[in-house]
Amino acid sequence: MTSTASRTRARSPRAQVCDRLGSTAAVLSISLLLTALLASAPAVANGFGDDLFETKRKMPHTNNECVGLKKHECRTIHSDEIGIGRRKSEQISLTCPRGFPHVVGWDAEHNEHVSLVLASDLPARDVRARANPPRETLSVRAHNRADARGVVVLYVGCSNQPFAGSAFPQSRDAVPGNHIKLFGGLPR
Amino acid sequence: MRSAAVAGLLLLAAAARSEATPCAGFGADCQAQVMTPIGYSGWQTQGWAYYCTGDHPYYLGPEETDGQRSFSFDNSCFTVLENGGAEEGNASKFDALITNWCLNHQQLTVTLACSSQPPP
Repeated sequence: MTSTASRTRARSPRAQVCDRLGSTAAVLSISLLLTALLASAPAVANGFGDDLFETKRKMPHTNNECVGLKKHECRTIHSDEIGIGRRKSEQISLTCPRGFPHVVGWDAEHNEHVSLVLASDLPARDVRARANPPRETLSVRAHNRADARGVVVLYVGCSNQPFAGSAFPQSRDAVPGNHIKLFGGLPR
Repeated sequence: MRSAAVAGLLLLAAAARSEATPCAGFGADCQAQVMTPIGYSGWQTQGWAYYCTGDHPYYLGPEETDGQRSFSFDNSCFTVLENGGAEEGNASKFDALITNWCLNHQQLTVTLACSSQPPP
């Protein structure tokens, strides 16, 4: 401690100015380097250029198609795995079966870069149940937002009673996995 | 130091507000209706329409410019962005874009401020 202090005191004013300039330059260099690393991190880390999406990531089915209903009141039907081409958009529809003709909700498994939006009308709420009701159809629009193929499996909740719930899904999306890559923090 | 402590308390109060009853600040007719819990995977966004039901079928929203919220939610992993435009024409409806910013699966329960009287 003492030796360092005395060494500083021993240096000329000109040398001290040079020291300060050197420190400032070092700090600036490190800042510039960090800025450059942060700016280029996604491109370096994933090879997709400036693409935001982690196109291998799948958003899992979260079992929300029958929310609020007991098991015997709701059946889940699902589509096959449907491919959505690069930057393409497709409508996917499912119709409930005869014994459970009423749509009460939907959910999906899909790639992160595929967004889903409800395309059909909301089911009529509190409609009185009747004999031989028509089978209801639910449609969603799937948008592929990246230059990579994506897939969707649509799940629809079908009930023997008309929809009387207090919540209905409108869309499904994902936070783009490559918006930050510094800590490799991707849910899989 | 003292002003920093006061500011901290105000921030805590603001943060806790999302979990407080949404009926605070509304009249005695307000009923807090707890919606069904919804599951979200990590870093996922879902759009949902919620509805006031029963004998209090009218939603007391959307959020006013003074920050008076007509809804609350119970999980700090989430942001809930109300979409007032999608509520027009339906006095029972609360519409929101909801994101789970945590990395793992989470559940969210939304509570709405509901009224027995239609909006003026």
